[in-house]
Amino acid sequence: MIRLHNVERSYPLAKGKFFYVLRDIDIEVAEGEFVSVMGPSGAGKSTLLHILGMHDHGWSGEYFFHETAVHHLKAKERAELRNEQIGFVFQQYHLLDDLTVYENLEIPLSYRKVGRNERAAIVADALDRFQMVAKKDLYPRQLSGGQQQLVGVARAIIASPKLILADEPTGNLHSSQGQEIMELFQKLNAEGTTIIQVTHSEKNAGYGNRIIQLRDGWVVEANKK
Amino acid sequence: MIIDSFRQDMRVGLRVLFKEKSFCVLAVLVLGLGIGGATTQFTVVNAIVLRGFSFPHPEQLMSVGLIDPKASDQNNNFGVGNIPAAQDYEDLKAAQRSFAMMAGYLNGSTINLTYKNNPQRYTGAYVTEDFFKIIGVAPFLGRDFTAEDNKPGAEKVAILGDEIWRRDFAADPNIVGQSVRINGKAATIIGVMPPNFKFPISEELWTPLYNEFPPTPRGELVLGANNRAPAVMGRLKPGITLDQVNAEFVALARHLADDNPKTNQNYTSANVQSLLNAFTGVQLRQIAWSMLGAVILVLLIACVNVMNMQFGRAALRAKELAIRGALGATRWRLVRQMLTESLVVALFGAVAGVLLAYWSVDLLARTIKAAPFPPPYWWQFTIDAPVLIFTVVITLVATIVSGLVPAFLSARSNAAEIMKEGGRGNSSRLVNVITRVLVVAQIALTAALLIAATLQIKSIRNQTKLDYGYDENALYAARMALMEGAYPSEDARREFFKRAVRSLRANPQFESAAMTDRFRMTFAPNGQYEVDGRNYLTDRDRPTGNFESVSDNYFTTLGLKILEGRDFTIDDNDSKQPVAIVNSSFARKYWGNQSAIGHQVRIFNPGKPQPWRRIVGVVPDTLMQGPFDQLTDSAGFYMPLLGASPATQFCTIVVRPRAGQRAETLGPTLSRAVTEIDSNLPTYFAGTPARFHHEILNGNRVIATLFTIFGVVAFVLSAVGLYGVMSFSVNQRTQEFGIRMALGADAGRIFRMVMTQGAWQLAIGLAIGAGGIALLLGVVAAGALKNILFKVDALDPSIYFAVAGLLTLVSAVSCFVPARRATRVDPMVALRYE
Repeated sequence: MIRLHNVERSYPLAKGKFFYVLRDIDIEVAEGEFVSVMGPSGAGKSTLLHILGMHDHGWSGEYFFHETAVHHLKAKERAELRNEQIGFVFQQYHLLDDLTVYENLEIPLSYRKVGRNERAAIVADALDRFQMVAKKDLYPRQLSGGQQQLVGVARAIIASPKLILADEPTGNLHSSQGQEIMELFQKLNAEGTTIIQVTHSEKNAGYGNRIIQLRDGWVVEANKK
Repeated sequence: MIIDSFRQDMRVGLRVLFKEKSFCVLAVLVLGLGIGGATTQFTVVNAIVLRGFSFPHPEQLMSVGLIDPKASDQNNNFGVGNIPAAQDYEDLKAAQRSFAMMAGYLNGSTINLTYKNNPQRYTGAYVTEDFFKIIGVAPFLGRDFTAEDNKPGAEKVAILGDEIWRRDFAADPNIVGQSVRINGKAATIIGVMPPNFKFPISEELWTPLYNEFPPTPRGELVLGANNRAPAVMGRLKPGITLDQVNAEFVALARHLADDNPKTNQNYTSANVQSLLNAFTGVQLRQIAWSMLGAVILVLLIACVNVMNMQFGRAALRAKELAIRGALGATRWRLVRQMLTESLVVALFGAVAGVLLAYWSVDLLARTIKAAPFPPPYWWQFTIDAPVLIFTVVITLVATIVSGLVPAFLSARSNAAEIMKEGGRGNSSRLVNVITRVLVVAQIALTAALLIAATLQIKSIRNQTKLDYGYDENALYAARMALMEGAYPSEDARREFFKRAVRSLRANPQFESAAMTDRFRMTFAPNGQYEVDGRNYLTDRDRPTGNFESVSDNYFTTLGLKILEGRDFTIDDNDSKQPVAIVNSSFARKYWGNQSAIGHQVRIFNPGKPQPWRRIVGVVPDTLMQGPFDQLTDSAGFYMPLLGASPATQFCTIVVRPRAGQRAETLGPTLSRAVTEIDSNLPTYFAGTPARFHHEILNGNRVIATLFTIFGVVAFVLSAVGLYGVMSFSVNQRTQEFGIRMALGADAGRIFRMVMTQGAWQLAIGLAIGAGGIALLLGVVAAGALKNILFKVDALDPSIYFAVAGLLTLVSAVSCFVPARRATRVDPMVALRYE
């Protein structure tokens, strides 16, 4: 599904030098995998996730998503591909404060030009699936952290992406809430969704089937469990 | 303790503000503009409406006038009322009990004074003997008038003003007792008034009223400047209220109406009001207050701008405040810190504002002083203690308005949350709501101000673009007054007029010459008239119009052709065959396509019915009613001046230069020509009609300029404010835009989102501002506007649409840059937490 070849990400320093955040990244992720990216702070985990999520355009190398050469796509084409294929879950949840749970779930669909009736049906289905029907009119600040992240996950999958990218999805949750989210990821993965998560937690990495270790921008280990 | 912490806050505040120079400079400039404008306008309001006279107990000084309850505001002298004849004043004075003293006066009048064979025309007042006693001011040299001085036939006396005593009499300490000629008669100077005294308006000298103009019987026809009926004032006895004195004078007015039905039957009421209000006039008071309202709107907009900047700063300083809170600062302590900074900014703004006000007040005072009708001498445009107190108050208000809400909201933020979020700032929902409401408020205020300013400017533009019906630059005119001393009889005046026109026409410098009683070639006398064959059931049914007394050759001098019939001749005489010439509006109004020739018209004067005048000619319209009167239509008629009965004392000479000469160069020639006719007759108000019209509208132009400045300042502040708020809002929402983009929103959608937010704010602001001002001007203040707006519909849709269009444009531009910036948010940066 994903093939990175010789991907590098750097920032210019003074006197024509560069600071490399990622070096010579060569990784492949097959469809249906649940991959955890691990490493110490500053290793380049989130940068890798943003490259995979096609938010970052300042890298070099080759990136194939299925058979599409992302490195040859224009920004608009990448955005279209991203909208079609990828969902995001963030550590800080990043729900929109002024929108209700229902509206937060609806927003990715409206960006994909899904019709109103269809949107309503999909959101209703998601609310039911995540057992949040009673909370649909609440604002994010009225929910607990775990509930907010549940909405974040629901929002990530609502447009039926093939790939979910999760950046420390349980980082702000206590252990039981974190476990709930990871079990949900496991379930989604079992249903066919490819998941790549960034995590510091060995326990959470244990929910996936492969770990990629990064250190100082280099892949130091990419083993199957 | 409080002073100590205030000092500490002040020190920190100054340090912070000096660090944030761009905010500081911008905020001081914005507040300086607002405070400067408000201080300037309050100086005007203080001078015109509030400060008043410096006499003892000025609140007891009242103006008295009779009122026709069914007449228009304009005919009732805008609420002040009229005294139809000197006898009315005498009867009121004899019967009343509320005033300790009363006086009559004719101010702004011409007094010709010859001193050492040098004739000079002065603006002076003819006053009754108690005039100075009522206000409590006595001559500083010589003596006051006595009842004996005021009697007809008594030896003529005059009291000089300090200014002319110094300028024209070399401050001669022995001036009292010296002989002069006043209006052609021998007179004695009996006193000099103290410096800076020109009561009631801008008088240079004073002479007794009845001695010059003995009271005439009620009902005599008086036209324009020949009116000798005095204005009346009185000083209330202690303890008498305004209601009591009004009740008494209404009753007295009814008695007068019953006793004198021919002349007074319509004057069944009276108005006694403060002399200051009567002098200022409701129209000017309304304009002064409305302009103060306008600048306070500008100040509010400035405060809203600074408030928005403070929100921006508070967001940036949220972490600092959170740390202070975590270190033990109470919320009130944080609010105080922020408010102190606001106070420092407002104080700098106040200093800038007061400096601006000194400059603009000086400019305004000089402009007003240069006007053709000098303002009342007691209007002192100075920044005094009350003005500075006002400035202090508005500075404190500006501090609180611009600083309190941001300070309060910053201080109530959750410190732990802010610090945990890595200093992303205070993005509370409330702040967002408030800033959006502020933008709406700012657009609403600006829309209201721009509409009001545009209406006012359009009104004044209408006045300056008036068509007077002839080439105003092609003529030269000068005024002269034939007073009783030199021209004691009507025959003498008629004889002079004939001699003068013959002499002027013989002068090779003039292509033609004529005379009119039109004042400064702008205002013709006005009153009710009758047309033959029409039935008038009551007095009020008679139409009101303008009628002008002119010599033969007047229309030719103005460059107008006789459309039908003939011109006046030098022999047309009211005692033989009274004749009239009507203008084309008049002919069309009464006879349509039929000829007006042979019909009859006359001035309506119930006290002494006037002879019918046979219409002998029709001429094109000229603007007889002047640039202010929008109630009287343009239908008017002319009467022969040379053979008029009664013969006028005041007339305007009009000359047209020979081909190749410019009219404005004729001053010395005309002055010499008049001196050749009568060496003791000074001319005054000399110039081209174009110059007169320009000068007369000078005050209005000042008002229009001020409104333009207010409008432009408000507009610029709004644009800056709108940009600031949109910019702030986009900054606040950077992360939100990042999330939206991460969730699939494209640049176009983000752009539309920001623009839509701006559009909603614009739409609501416009609806509130335009709707509010329409309601205010079109419904609540519609009556008052009739006096203020000249031929402008307060609900003129073109003005409302133009303002809406302008604000839409500026809003679009103001939103465009932040909206573009929003589309460039890098989701990776916005979402980064590593």
